[in-house]
Amino acid sequence: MRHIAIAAIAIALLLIGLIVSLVEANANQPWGQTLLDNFMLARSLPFTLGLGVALGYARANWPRRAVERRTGAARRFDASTIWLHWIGTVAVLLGLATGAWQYLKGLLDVSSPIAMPLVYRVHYIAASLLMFVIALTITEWWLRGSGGLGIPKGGWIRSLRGLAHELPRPLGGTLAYMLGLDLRRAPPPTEKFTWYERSISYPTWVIAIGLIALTGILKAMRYIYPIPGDVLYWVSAIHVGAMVLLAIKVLDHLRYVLAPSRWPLMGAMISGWVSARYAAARHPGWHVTDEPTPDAASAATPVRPVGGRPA
Amino acid sequence: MKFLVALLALIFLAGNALVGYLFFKEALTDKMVHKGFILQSLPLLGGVVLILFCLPVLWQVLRLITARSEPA
Repeated sequence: MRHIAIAAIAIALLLIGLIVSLVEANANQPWGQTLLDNFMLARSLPFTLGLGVALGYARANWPRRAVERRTGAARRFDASTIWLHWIGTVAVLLGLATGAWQYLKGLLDVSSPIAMPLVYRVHYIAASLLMFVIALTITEWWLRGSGGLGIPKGGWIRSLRGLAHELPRPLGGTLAYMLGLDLRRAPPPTEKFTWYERSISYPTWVIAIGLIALTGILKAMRYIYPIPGDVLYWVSAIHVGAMVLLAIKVLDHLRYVLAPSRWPLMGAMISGWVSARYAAARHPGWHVTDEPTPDAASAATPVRPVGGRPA
Repeated sequence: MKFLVALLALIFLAGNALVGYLFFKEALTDKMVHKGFILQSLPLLGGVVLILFCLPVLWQVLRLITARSEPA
């Protein structure tokens, strides 16, 4: 019951914060729309983060339902992971599009066919959404003791060996040579998430989103708490750099999930499920013990045999 | 579904390639040269890298469209 009360209080506080900001914005202020929106964003951020923390707490303490079973299928993502992923996707894509638009307008020194206050407003809404998702996800995973896709303590060498086997041979061989990994040993079986997802994809998402969020908060706060010009210069430069990094991450993520051999994983981010046959063939280290596994004769050939070409 | 996703990915790729090209082109103008190495290198490197990262995605989209459906 307490988790529901905390979530309700957080929602009420967010609404009160927004109403107070709106009332003040509607008073006789000399500011333009963009500056007003900036103030709204800066003032609402603590409430947005608080709402994310409260809902993360509520999610973590929500009574867990019995694990749903489906014959011939394995659960890859929880329902909450799916909707948080898609809210985060919308926030990142909107933020990228509007951020690139602002940057290009300054770079090209042209007038925008779309009203810039609208572009900034959408950018701020996307930023709020992203902050909410970040706060909720971190709180829920932390309280549930879930490491997300992170590498467990002491598991880095195993992960890097798996990664070296998954990468195309020239890249994997170079990585193994540089780190002194023995590629003649059998690769560790791929678990629920591939070694690439765990050792490259997920950590770089954390870095890119962390950078853009921290620098974005500082930029949003600059009219409320004065920030020295030199610091603001670097914060802005890092924010633009993080935008490019995030665009690269989205492209790399698309490259990874659009590969025909990984198409079922794309479906799993909508339904949450992947077939047990696929899991057994491509993720042999993922113990789907309650699911019927295909027999050896009918199992699909692994997409990425040791030393083979990447899928 | 595959074709819809592939179409959306192609639109996204076109947008990224255009942004990458504009970043690269503008980074080489006199205006950016005078702004210093850091402010010039961001659009320059960013533009090149964006275009480079579009290529493998384009390859996977083409493979996705032409690949035969396999049982999931």
